[in-house]
Amino acid sequence: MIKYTIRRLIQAIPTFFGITMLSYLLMTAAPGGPTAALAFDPRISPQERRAIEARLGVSDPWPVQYLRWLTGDDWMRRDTDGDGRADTCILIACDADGDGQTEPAGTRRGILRLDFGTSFFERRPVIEVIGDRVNATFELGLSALVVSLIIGIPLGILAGVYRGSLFDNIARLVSVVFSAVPIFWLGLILLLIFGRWLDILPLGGRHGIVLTGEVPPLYTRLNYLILPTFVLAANYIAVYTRYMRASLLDVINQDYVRTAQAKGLSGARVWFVHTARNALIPIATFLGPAVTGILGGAVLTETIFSWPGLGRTGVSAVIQQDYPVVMAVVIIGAAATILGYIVSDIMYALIDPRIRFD
Amino acid sequence: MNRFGKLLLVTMVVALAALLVLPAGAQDEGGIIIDSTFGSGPINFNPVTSTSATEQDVMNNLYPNLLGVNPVTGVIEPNQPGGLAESWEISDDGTVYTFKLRQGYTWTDGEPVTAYDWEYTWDAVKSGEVETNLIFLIDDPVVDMTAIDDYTLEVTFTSADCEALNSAGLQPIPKHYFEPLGFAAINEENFTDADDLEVGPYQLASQIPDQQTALIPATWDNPDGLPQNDGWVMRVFGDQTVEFQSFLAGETGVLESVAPNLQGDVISAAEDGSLQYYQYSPGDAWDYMAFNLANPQNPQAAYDESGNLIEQDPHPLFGDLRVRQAINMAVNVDDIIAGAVFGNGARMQSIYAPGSWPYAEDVPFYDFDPEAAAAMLEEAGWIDSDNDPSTPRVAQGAMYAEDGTEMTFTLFTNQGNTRRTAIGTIIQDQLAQVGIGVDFQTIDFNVLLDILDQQTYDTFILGWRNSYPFRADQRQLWATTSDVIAGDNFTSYINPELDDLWVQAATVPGCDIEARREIYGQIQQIFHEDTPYLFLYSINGMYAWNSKYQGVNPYPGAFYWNLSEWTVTE
Repeated sequence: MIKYTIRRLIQAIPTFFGITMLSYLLMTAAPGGPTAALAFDPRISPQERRAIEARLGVSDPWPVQYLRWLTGDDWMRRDTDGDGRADTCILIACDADGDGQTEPAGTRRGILRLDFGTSFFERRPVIEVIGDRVNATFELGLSALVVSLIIGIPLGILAGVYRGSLFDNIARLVSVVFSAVPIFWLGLILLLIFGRWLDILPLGGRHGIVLTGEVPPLYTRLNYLILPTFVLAANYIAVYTRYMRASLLDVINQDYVRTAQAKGLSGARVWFVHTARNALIPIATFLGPAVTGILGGAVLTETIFSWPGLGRTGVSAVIQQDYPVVMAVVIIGAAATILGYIVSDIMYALIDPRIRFD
Repeated sequence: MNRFGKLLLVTMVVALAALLVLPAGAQDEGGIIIDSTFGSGPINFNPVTSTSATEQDVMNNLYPNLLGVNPVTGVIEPNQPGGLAESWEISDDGTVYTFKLRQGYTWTDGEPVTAYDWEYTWDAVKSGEVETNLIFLIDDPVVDMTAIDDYTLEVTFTSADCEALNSAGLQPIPKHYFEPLGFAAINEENFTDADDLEVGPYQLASQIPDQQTALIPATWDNPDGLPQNDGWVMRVFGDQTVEFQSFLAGETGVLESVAPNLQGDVISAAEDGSLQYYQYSPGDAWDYMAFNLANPQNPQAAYDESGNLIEQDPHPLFGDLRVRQAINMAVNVDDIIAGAVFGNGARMQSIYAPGSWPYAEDVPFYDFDPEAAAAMLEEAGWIDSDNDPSTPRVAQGAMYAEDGTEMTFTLFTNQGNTRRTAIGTIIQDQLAQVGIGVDFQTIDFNVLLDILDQQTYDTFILGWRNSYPFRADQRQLWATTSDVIAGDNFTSYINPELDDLWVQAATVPGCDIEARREIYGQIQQIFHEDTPYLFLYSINGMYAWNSKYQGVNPYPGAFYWNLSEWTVTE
């Protein structure tokens, strides 16, 4: 299994770089640019805006920008005489803004050396920007995943067991509704009902007002987690319910189930030990896409519920064209997707002994 | 249902019940003012590098400005809240201002706030080592800022300008902290840590990105006194609807800017006394539809590289003044005010909103008169050849269009702005009544900016927000020198007479307000006649707050000026 995992990880490397290159190309090809938002001030002249663009490096051709993002600029713009100013430059100009003074020597090491750069807007290392938000997204994503599994799988099993019953019909209806309803609409409606009209849950945020800057412990703010978790999980509850029910009904016709029934085992044992356990195998393959989907869903959920996570930051960064932050979010998304699929494959093989690692 | 099913059901019911009894809402806030914003929250409180208005609201409570604004008049005056200048003298030629600063203000570490802090701040801006939007000040209009002594600051301007003070209102950074580190270190400092240097009357307690910013009263002396409340917290919402509902639910207590479509809801909600609001007109933002007066197929700057004025290639439709005037008469702006801002707007006939000090009452509005508009279009050579107003007119002897050209154009606005989408839809509908076809498109804001920068559009709908304190001078939007690719004279409106009048208005001897108003009146008359924009309306402003907040005393453009005096009653 270790050999298999390593091989899959190595295979993922070109995929990963392909994703980042395509993302960078698309991002820089989009009209506007960071200075449109950063310096959208009529008092700033076009010349000054161009100087800002040059200093940020966003006026360079995209392959140069991508290369700098990958490998840094400490080798592109060097200071050999020790005056703090660049005097030897490769691919980029020493005096980028054309003010007659060379720029300071490059200090960026690039993501290959684990330097994600500095946010244009927050003016601090991207790793800090991401670090401030990743916990919130992880908390919400994990909650949603657990809730979707805890609710979706039992619902699917019960719907399968009581096939054709009122419970089954309700479960199928609910799963269709949860699949069809857009997240933003469901989120706003639930906020209105539970936050505004019934006034039993807060209208967004990750916690109440704090003066210390410390995020309160999770158990004191579970009420803030309920609605966003449910909204983010809703689609996956539906998916797991339908998959589980279908898988269960598929397994039910297998010979070994009939054998178990013929042996006189109790209904519960047949259903929940023999049938449900084997029906779970296809569900495992769904875990990888689910992780990706939940990250994607977090973009809308975090915005509606004012959840200070990566999804919301990613949206702001895309709108502001804050390239370093956008790319960091892309990397996280790409890595999560690739790892999710690998984990899915590994789990599939672990759960089903008939499948071998090749 | 078997035992397992029953157990599962019971578990789900218990879980649901537990959710319902969990404590809701925020924790006990005591005497804390809870404010809110939506979208990108504040992230940078460095007075030199910060770029957003929300951050400015926060910084105004952490650092003094050189100049304060009289909240009642909206004019910069000595000894006003937030400003440290207690008096100033102006040199005979009007270019040098010598400010005397109030004493007794200190940074968190006890170091006094002095004129040298402003001098250092200015040096940082000029240095070219700091990424700052304040670069627009360098050389023009501000030449230099020099500390004469601890409490005397001399500011030299490029020329005598009646609005020069608007450019001198800087907030300082601490010289004693940054000088050993160098200017470049200013880029790295966002002042978002609780132990950063501030002046007061508040200090930063915590900053959680995209969640909240919390200020508490400073723990050191402040000559203006310390806040009477326990703090001010700005919560950051991702969505405006949720922010508004949180305000109505009482989770937050302040809305600094109520959108026009929500102002009616605030007024209704205030009927039970739980809310209070302050509505004012004109507001500080206005919407317009801009005409490109030059040919979008051949965009060019006003001047060539040698500085000679270039004859612009006129737009096939809007190069003709009669077409622009006809469109003014064909559009019912009152309908737009009703449809786009629910009546919460004041119609504009030119660049200034009614109620602003330079506003000229004698400049007329274009009356809504589709028949007169149609007649003017006929006169301009745009003929309704099939006598069917629902089909576009065609050129027949038009000034800049070839015969047979259909009278259609593209109208852009930014995606996601329902107000501007409503404006575009109404204009499209009304112009169709006089035989003008409008291809109305909502596009991504960055795409739109790109198109504007390149001047490759026919028309667009956007808005401008006035600065505070109010600046009458709008040269950056209209001067011929601003007609460059990526400049702000997007419309290529070139009028040398206007260029002269702007300068005259800004340099009236003694800055006599009546003399300036008269010149701005002439400017408005010219704008009305030349109509490079279809001027629409200024949006009424509204502040709203929970009735448990006492001491709120707003004026137009000045909501937080006495935040320190706000208190919370339970």
